[in-house]
Amino acid sequence: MSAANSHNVVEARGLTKTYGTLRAVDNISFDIPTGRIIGVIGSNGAGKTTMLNAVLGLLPYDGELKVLGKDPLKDRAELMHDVCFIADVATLPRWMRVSQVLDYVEGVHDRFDRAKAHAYLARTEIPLNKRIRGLSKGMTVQLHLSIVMAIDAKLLVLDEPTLGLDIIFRKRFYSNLLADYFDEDKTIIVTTHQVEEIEHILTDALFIKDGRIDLYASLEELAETYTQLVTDTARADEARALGPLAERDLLGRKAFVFEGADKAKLAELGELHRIGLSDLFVVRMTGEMA
Amino acid sequence: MNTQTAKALMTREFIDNRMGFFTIPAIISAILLAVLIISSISAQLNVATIELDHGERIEGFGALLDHFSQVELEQRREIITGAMFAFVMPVILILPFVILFSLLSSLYDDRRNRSILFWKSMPVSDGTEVASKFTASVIMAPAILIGFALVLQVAFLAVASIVAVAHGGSAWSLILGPAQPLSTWFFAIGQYLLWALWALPVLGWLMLVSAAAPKAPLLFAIVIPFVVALLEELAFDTNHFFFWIVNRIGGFHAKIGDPAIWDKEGDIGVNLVLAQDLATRFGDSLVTVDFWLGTVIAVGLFWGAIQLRRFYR
Repeated sequence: MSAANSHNVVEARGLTKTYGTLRAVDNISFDIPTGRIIGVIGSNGAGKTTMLNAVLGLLPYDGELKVLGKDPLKDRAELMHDVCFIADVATLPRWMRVSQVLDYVEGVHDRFDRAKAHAYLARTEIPLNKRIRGLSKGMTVQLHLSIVMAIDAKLLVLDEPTLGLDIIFRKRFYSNLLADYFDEDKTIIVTTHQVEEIEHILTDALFIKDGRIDLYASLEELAETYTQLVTDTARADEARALGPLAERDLLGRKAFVFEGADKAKLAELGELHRIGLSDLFVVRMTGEMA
Repeated sequence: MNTQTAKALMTREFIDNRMGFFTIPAIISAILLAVLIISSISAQLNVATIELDHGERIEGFGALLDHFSQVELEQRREIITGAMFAFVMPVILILPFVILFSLLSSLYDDRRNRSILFWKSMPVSDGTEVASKFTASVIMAPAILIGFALVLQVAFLAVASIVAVAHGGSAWSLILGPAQPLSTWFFAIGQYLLWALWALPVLGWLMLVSAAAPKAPLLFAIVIPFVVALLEELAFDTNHFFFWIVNRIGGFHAKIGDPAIWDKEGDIGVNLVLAQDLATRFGDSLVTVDFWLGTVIAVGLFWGAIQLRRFYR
């Protein structure tokens, strides 16, 4: 492998995971370079979680996979010095007190900054002496996020990290993640169904469909490639002639999505807009505009 | 693994198993202590006549102490030391249950409550996890129980001394001097370690079941060996498997009840005989094929438990 590959946090070649006859992850290859925030977006059952679990060394897989140069399945424990993850909601030990969980992480993790965790927790209502069992669902998530943000990892993987949180906390969490946690030496992989909420912090998007990568590009590339045209119904046929991916009615007008079309040409037909990630996802998955 | 990690893991195991490791022994200890104090008070109020083995009658508690001061030192030693251990027996007897249930839940609960995904996000290998849970059940739990037993024995000696002094006797010559629990403790701990070595395949089996059972690990832990034993019985009309398990769980130290050991008491003292016997059996164990076969099987079972934890999901 060339020297350039050392900048890749994750390298997958022909990564495959089968459950019986189901190919949950079907022969996918991709690289994730350092310093990116990648949104992994897919429908339920598309293989997002399976792919992430393979990256985290939580499941055996076929194909080649390197995370920070290591084999995640063989070297999981070693890898966890540099990789941090939230793989599911409510995985914190419910029988422990908040302070006991912090004691534990402080004991086993050399990159954990307890003062930092306390600082994050101070912004919440979470009492340190309470058992996790007694915390609300949202507080449990807040606690887990506070722990994760206090670990100075190179790769952070978040699978639906904000499930069960109210919108204010979700917004605050993502802006903290960007402002306090993320830097050019870190890489974040995040999945969520609330795509709109993370779109502004992402550098890349990775769409997964039926265990395969449907699209993997930076947000700049996506903005370059995909364009939304809003035009009068009268000019719809002209737009259709240019081969849109999808169209829909929009308050008496028509909206079209184009891929790799000549923007100058499109601009003659109406207004051009950037297409949002969630709209693009729906178009790619269904061929329609929702 | 450094000591900081080990400390964090053992602390976690203690918190997780607090009920069996601490709360239940503490409650039993408190009850024993209450029974000790209440009975030593009521004994003095109520004991009027005590009939000894050879028909002699003693009136009142003071007379009983008088009588006790006249028995031979060796016999006094046995009575006091024996009483100390009989007193703490309820605490010691919960150990098999504590080990059984803590091992069965050790790898099962993490899967059921999904905290396994949190533990796996930490830089701790699955082998270390399994080892920490084994150590908690097989080393930490008995160590804590011994701690409770020692506190109870000190309390026992204190109460007995107070009673002796209250009746004008000497606490030292009647109680504290003859009390010699150390050799018995040495023997009991050695006996336990020998047991743990022999029971390794059983302990490994409990951990494997804990890592594998979809539910009700206790049921799986019992039913599977039972079915194997039954199949052997039906197919070959033999019971090797069944007796092998029984032997592993406890049959090998049946010698402790062997009268031949106790008969030697007059010559060199029973503890010395037991200690020699223990040393011999440790030595004997290490050269038997059966022991090493069991150890190899145990290693396989622990390895299986670690793999199951690794490939969870």
